[in-house]
Amino acid sequence: MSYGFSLRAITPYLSDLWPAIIDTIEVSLATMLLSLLLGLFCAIGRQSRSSVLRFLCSLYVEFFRNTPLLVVLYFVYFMVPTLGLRLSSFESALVAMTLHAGGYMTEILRAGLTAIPHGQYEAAHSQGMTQPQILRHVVLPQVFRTIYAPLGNQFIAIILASSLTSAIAVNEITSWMQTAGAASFRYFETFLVAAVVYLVLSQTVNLLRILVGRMLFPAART
Amino acid sequence: MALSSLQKARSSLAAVALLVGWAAFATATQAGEVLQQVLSSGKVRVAVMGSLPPYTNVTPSGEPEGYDIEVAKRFAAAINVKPEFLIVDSAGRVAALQTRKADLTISGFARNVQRSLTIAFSDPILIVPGRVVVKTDSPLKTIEEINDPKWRLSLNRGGNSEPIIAAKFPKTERKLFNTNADCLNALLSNQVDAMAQDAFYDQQEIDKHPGQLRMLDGTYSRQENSIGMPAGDPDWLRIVNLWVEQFNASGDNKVLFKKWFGMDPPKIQADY
Repeated sequence: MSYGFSLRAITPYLSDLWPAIIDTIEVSLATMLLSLLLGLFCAIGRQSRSSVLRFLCSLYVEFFRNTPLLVVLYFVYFMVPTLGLRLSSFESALVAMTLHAGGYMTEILRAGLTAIPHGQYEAAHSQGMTQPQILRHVVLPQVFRTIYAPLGNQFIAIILASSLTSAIAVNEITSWMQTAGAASFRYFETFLVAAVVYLVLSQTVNLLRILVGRMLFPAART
Repeated sequence: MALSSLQKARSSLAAVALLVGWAAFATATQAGEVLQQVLSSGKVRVAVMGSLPPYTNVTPSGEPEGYDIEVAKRFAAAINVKPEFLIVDSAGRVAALQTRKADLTISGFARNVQRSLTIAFSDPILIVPGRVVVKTDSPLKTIEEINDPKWRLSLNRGGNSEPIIAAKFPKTERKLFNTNADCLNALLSNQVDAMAQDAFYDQQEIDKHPGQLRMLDGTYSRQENSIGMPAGDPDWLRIVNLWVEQFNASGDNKVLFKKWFGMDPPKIQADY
């Protein structure tokens, strides 16, 4: 008995794919925003005058950059409830992915911060600006010009990493692929559809990154 | 010259299409030759799950052990070949046969009509009831009570229980996991309220967690565990079935079951 490839065989399962795509986009977008905030805090913290804050931020970055995301997912989903806090599958995925991506985001932002010449800070101080004003009006606009390309790559990485959340019962694209494949016994077809969906999502982010970059920073070519 | 994003996307799609085409063709040319391949290679590749004790389990040294492992070893010895074990998850048991990564699947594998559309099954080696496990302090008493949207039930993705539970208890919130260990961990960590599984696996876990777990009254399925194999090779099916018949009739299956489960097996007969 030979295997007959047929996309038509999985059409009964396609109605579940759109909600899975929405869930993937939701968890990825939320992770991107939260990890950006967390990364910004830790990147500034790593340059702080406080040695305690520098140490804690460094510890956070080194721990989560050297721990597999799957391990973090399992820890948040299965172990945290034993401490009295039960998070749903989606909430656990969001927390775990934010903590994990925040480590990488910290280093991306720190690279952008250290690229700003020290003279910029001195010039801003000399104008009487406070530290928050310096960050808001002088430093961060230049930082984002430098890091928006790696930020786009990080967003793509987050979308692809969201596939691991199927392990804790999040109904995203990989979960759909596994469930539809197991129900239909059409693994090639479901793998192909999932791969194409991830490809479309990633390339959409890539094209948006290029377009936004050209709009915001017309002088720089990407 | 750097490729544009559109060119890169086109290249990626073409590569994926080529890979799929090759894989589909490769599977088609290998079907129907299982017996000859097993005998000429001197080994039978058996797909088993890694965490379904006492059916299959992996020791700290990485060796598989369990009832299904011994069934596989005895069959291999009967046809004078060596068994080679391939650890898969629940959904991988069918995929391994479809893609000819495995010659047999012996892993708490229930035969049903849907699966038999793509693979072949031997006669049963075991009859297993499907039961639901809850924590000891759960308010649930009978299996019918779980048919309520407030209850969350963990299930093995790709397992036999999944469509049965969906049909019999459609209101239950079903949480699908890739392994039995994850299903159990979800119950123990209160991420779900109940777990649906094989009654013998359930009893094993109840014994391992004294005072923490219990089974609900009632069963949701009667499962016929069989040996799975690629479809399209009638000689392979004939040989496996002959061995199964003799394995059951001689009493060897009963002795082996008692060794691993600590009790006599249910009779392999339909309850008309």
